Amino acid sequence: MKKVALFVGFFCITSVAFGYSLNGRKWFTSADARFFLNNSNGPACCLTASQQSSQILSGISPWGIASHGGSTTRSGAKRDGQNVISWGKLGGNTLGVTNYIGTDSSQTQVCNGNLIARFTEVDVRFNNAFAWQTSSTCTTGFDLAGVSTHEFGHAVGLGHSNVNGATMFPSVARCDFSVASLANDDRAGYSSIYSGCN
Amino acid sequence: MRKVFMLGLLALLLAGAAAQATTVLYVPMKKSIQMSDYVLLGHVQRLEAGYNTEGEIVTRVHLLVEESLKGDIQKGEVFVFHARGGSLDGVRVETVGEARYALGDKVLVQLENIQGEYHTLGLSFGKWNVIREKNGSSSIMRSLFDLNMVGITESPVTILPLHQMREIAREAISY
Repeated sequence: MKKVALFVGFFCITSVAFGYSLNGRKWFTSADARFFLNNSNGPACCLTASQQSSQILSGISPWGIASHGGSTTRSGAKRDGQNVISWGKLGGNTLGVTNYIGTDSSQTQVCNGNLIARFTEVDVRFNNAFAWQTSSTCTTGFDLAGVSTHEFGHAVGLGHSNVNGATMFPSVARCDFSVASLANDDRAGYSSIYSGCN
Repeated sequence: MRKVFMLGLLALLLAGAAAQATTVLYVPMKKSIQMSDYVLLGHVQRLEAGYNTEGEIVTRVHLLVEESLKGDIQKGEVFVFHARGGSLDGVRVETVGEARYALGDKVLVQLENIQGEYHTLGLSFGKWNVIREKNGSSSIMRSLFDLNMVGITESPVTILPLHQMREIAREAISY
């Protein structure tokens, strides 16, 4: 109970004092945080399969703990021992979904005063019904790299930020290609859970 | 109205304690009704976890329908739709940004058909809690905090009187 109170208390302090917020989970090792991409069933418009792949994967690299582990034929949001990125039909207005498949709350770390549990599996899906576009051709579409970077921010343990312009700010305009680059607030949030832990 | 404001504030605080997200396209109210196959008001009668056709864990929400704002569902019918995630066979899947339900909740849901399964439009975007005001009227309220919104063109609607939702639905359907 004390642990819960400590967690909630520090979480609130963190949220108010800085722009970023945390979701109480993190990867304990980089080996756990390898993501495998299934790039089949990608959208017909407007990126090539190679562009789709590179833009999704570019969303992983800014978050140091996470990496691309290779390709996979698995898909969806299922517990299968692999962190899977895949395409799917997600509905009329859902662009990407992050699924926490496994969290081991019996394993925790205290990082800068925040009690954080261990992620064991996370799957991310993108909607293949949307027009993902490049900055040079964008008219009314969306930046896959930007949405990917945002989703992987959640996949490494960050919540939303109230700093406008941060990758983890919960709103972005069509054809806005700025969010794929981390802002100082995103870096501070990441550091707060991956540095200074015991 | 004060009660609604306080409940809204409480919802924001609670949402802040679990800040996570999924990315959805913001669509204005009328458009969101047009994108919905059903808009139903009712009580959550039963929740059960199961696997969908893709083998993913979902929660089947059984809604005892009180009123249909869109779609041919009669009062008293039970309509079953899916919420992503849930707990089954020792596995707990949490789909961030998905709406949460509790038995007995009175909700208004905007539902779309995704490959033969009905889901709320944009996860928690399409789920509204029904609140009874002191004067006896009802309002609906939703939390967008867990969602990463793309393409916002107006101040997002998070609360409105139920009668106004009925008007918007009528207009959207007749448009």
